[in-house]
Amino acid sequence: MTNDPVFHYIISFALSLLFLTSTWQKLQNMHEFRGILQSYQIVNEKLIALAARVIPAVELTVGAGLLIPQTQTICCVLAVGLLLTYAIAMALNIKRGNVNIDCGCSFGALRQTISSGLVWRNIFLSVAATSLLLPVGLRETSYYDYGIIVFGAVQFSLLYLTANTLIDQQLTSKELSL
Amino acid sequence: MIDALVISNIVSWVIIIVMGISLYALARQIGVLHERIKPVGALSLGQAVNSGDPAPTFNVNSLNGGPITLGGNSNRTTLLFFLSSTCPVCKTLLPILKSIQLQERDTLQIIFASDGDITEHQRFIAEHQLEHFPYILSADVGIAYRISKLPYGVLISVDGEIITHGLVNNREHLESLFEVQKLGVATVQEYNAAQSGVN
Repeated sequence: MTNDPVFHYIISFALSLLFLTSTWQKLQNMHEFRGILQSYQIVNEKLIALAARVIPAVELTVGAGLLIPQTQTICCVLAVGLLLTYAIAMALNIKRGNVNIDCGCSFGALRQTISSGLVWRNIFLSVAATSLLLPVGLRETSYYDYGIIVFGAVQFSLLYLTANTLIDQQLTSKELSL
Repeated sequence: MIDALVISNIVSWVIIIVMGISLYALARQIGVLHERIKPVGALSLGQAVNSGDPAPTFNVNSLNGGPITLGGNSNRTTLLFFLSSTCPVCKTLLPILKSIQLQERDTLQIIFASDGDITEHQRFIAEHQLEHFPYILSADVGIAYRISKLPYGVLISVDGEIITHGLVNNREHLESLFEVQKLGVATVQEYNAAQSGVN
């Protein structure tokens, strides 16, 4: 089974964009990120400062590495690892009933709390990332394919943002009994 | 024919992208509307303190100078606002708290409470210009009220009784604390429950 180059590149570009923007946000809000990590109550208090530095560094490596063919496989495994770790961390806190914490996915004025929708989102993203492990089919690509790749990656990111926003609103919809 | 197909495809891409952007914008607007019409007030957590109970008494020094007495009689209603320098929502509420304090200075006193590293909080005070507010750093106060989530507000009457308390995530939650004082119920949840019971 092989993956068409167009699918392959759409997913690798979109995931890379996701990880790079996430690194950027974390570095911009280092202080808040430490607070969010603390609220998850998973990392030992003493290791919070270290984890707050290591996580953005790993995300940066994954984001950049997904764009380089030589490092793509290892970064893809790392990406799946990161996404599933976040999913498990959120699922654990939901199980504990500790749902009123910031997910750390948006550092805006509106706080996005963790929810099962976000766990499923991460599982979906890790399946998409796993598809990068398939060998890329040897098809001759042209400028037209490059256009589709850019279009696909932009569309993927837009849909990701929309899905995230809608998941966030699920909770308020429930509160409003809509 | 091929040219026509290529052109039609490009046109579809542009339209799909524009629709994707519109969809995202609409989803965000729905979020803003939800925030505006949310009727739920500050959520009361923990059973360490109840409305009507006397507020635990503490004598602590403010980081901005001077001793602070929490609990007991005072000449103004006190809003004890628990925050942390690492919590993003706390920061978004600071301008609102400042304007409330300015408007209600004759009847209300806002006291900030937190715990942790002094220098970090001093930097936080300078960064957000909170020099005019009493700012206490005491783990004991947080423990007494059993604060587990931030930002958390506790409203204390002039007689030193707890009027209400709850998790404050936005302006509406903050206002609900004062609303509770006016309505004379313990929490907005209780008020809502009473209302739905009537209906």
